[in-house]
Amino acid sequence: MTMSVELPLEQNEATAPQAGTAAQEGARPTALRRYARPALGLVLPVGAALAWELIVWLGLSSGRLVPPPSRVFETLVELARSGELLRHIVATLTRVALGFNFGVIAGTVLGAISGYWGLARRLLDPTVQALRAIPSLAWVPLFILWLGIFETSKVALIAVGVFFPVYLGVLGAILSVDRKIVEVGRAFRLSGPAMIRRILLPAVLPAYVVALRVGLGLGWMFVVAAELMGASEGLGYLLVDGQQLGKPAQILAAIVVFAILGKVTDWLIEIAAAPLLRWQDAFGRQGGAP
Amino acid sequence: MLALNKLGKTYPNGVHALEQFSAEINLGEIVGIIGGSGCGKSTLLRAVSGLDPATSGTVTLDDAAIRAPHPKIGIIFQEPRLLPWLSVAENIGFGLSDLPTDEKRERIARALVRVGLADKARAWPRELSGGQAQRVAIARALVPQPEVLLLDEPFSALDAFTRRDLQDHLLDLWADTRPTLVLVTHDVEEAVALADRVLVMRPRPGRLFEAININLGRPRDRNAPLFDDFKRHVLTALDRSLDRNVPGRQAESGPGQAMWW
Repeated sequence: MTMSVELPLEQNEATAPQAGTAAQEGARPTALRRYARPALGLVLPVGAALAWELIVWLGLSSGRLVPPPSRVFETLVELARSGELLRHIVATLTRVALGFNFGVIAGTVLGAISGYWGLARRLLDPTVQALRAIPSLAWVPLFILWLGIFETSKVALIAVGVFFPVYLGVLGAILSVDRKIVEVGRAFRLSGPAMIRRILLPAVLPAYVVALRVGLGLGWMFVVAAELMGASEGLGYLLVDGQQLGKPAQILAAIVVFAILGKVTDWLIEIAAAPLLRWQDAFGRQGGAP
Repeated sequence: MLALNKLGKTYPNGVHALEQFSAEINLGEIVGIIGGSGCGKSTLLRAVSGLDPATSGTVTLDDAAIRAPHPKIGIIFQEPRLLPWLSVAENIGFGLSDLPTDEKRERIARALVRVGLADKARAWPRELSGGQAQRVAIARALVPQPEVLLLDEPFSALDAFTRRDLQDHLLDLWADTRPTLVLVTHDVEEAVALADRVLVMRPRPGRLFEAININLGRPRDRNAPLFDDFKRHVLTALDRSLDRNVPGRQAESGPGQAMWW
């Protein structure tokens, strides 16, 4: 009998053929299931947008305070053509990226230390939990006094928003690693670093990805707050500018861009993590119950 | 030879789980450890494995003291405890990280064939049945070729058919390299079917009560009268270990009395 075993030892890419049978059966739906079901979710927003467009077009409303989709789109195109849009997007993205980075690094490091080491947890965790109880926006005046009104205070605020969910996620994930599986590592005499690399990291990863996504969501929330408190560029500036100059279409355009950027960045994390999480039950990918 | 010398274990909470347990187990011998719940049989096994060292006494393997997990000692738990993020093949190779890749690959391939899961090499653990998962766990413990394999009620979570299947399978695998097996169980038939010697323990604190040699050839016929005799013998010893002296009158055991099954 001949048999070959390919061992993807470092990374298990391309492990899927038999691995995904259950998932494939669930994910091989009819054309209706595949396209019609997600489309169902579009009926309400698209219908409402078209209805509003129609109402304004018929002259039943001026659409001055609630501009129709076409006018929002026009505004977007205008902003894009002048290069304004790109400048604002870059400014906002840079802030989110920086704040997210610092927040994730701090949250991961402190969460890991608290999770791994009981003494550090008893020392550190009560303080962090107490700080967490403070609404993050309450820091704004202090950050402005300490760090000035420009980029630093904005990035700091975003980092604070990102920090807590990441910290909690990492801490909780480490604490909930199955003791029985850790014991397997002990039985095979794994060293401390090997235990972290081969048991703890993979065990913690699913919860960590969730924590990153929650953190990113908060990062987007806080960038708006940061830009509302005074900025000369950024999507938040577009919001304030639209309000002060009475341009609701510009506000809506900025909101649309926020929605797209938030979704895309979240999706990037999901895609980056997917190959590492293929071993998990594919229930979510099958769309759950019919 | 695996020598247990006056092993005792008192947990930090004051529970006295094991007392003065001594036994000498020869290379290649299969020893079954049986006893009522709370008799310290799992404590004993964990002490031998080095995962949870004894508080008094010594464990020595070929004159080397065992105080921590040892490369020559493998352990199989009640649950398979496979790592869900590794494929079946990777799980089997988990304890082989020191070997060159080629040799590792070959040993895993051989083990997969040997436990009848060659077609599941790339499957995830969640796709396996309980019996298949436990076979992977057995393969994982055996590929590093340990001298001693400890088994902590390895089949108790399986249904009766699968359990019998795996018992036979274990003997089959054991015959390949003939490691020493120390098997903790609460199943009298399992002990008699597998072991050369059955150590009956008595509870509170756990002590050795009686050692019974199972002088039956292999393969063993579970329907043979002699097999039943040994079963009865072990059962009687168990009953006596729990101060229930007459096997026919178990109905009299009052509430609150320990039950060995």
